[in-house]
Amino acid sequence: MNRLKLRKEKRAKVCVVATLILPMLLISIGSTVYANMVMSTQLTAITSITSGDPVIEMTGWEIISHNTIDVNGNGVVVGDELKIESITDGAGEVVALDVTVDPAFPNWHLELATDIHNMVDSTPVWLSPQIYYLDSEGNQAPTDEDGLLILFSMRYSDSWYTSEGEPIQDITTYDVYPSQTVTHLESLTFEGQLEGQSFGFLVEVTATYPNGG
Amino acid sequence: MKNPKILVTLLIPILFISMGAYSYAHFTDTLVKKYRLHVNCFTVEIKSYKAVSRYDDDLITKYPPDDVLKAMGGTTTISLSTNQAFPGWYVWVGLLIQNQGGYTAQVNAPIYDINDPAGIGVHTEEYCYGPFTHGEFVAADQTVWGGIRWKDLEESGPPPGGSPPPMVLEPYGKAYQNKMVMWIYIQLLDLNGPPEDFKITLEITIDVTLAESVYGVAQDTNEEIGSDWVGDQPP
Repeated sequence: MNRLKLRKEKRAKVCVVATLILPMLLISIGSTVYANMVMSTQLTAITSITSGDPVIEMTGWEIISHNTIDVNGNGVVVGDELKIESITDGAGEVVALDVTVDPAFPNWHLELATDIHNMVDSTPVWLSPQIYYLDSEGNQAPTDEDGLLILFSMRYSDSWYTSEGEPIQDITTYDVYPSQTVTHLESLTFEGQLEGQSFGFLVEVTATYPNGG
Repeated sequence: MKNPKILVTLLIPILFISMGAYSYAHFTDTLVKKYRLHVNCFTVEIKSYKAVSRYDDDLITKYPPDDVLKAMGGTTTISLSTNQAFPGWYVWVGLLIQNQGGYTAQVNAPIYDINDPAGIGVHTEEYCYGPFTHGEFVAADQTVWGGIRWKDLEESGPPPGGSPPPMVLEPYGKAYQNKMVMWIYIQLLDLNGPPEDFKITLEITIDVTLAESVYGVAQDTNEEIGSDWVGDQPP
């Protein structure tokens, strides 16, 4: 009987101890968790970066000067002896100018300004002009100012300006931002005697991602 | 009275209780210790932020905008986004962090959670400046915060005098307003060759916790109170 009584008493004591200690443990754990939650904070910066594509177009051109002759005497030179046509892509954006001169003659010259616009949704870009000549089979082959002079006696030079008219020293490392327009001024002077011959060359301007920082 | 015993049974305890209470009031004394606990706020917030890039920070959408953040008085979350990025693109994210609470806070190193399925690669660096009191910050503003332009960062790198995290900010005080500047540099790499369309999300988390010194001070204080006992100390 006594053993049974002692066991019962022990059980009761264990229950009382558990009843007291468990809430105490929970309270202390809860306090620690609460303190850690309240006594700390997180500063967060969420950054979302999506790629863009370089998209440029020609938005205008202007003949600054020329000495093309009105050979047929119809009073029209630009659009007749000197033709400049815009070539558009499927989206209606001007992607090229086709300049035709007939006749060219020694010391014929043309100064042409072209506006190149970086589209609003584009990335910042660097522009790199490249001259190509058309070989006898009509294929494009790269060349430069010296090459044009040797091949066709065509003296070619160009310069770049901001929309405010400030000269750009090196367009190949100049950041053209979206919505920004730059002007490409080209000067052509024919110094040759290539009578009765036709020749062609083109200047391609490529927009690339800036070579980051 | 039909049953005087019941009456007596009721009256005697009543008498005893009232007499006892009267005696207790005269023969006892009371000391009261009142505790008033005021729990200070733990508030560390971004007071202002910048996204500075050679690639025109106007191309980066920020939230909250400057005017909204000023009206809010501070925030713990900011977001930046652009859809005109490319390999090599970079941005310097500047955070002006201020302890506006009543505890000494420790601003820990940023943790970067980068989601870059295209495998472009992201390079990050961080630089801390401060801690500054209000007066110190006014003096340092031009070199570490207000005067910073992308050209300075590109040509000269981060402002001089930076130190790696963590940084401890003392509690807010009218004359102190302890703050710090953290500049985080994020640059996209080009680990996969020719770029394709990509989308990267980058979550920067800066944990701010109670400074370790807070616990240290509390321990010292207890020891001082113990030695301040007047008369015989209790066992």
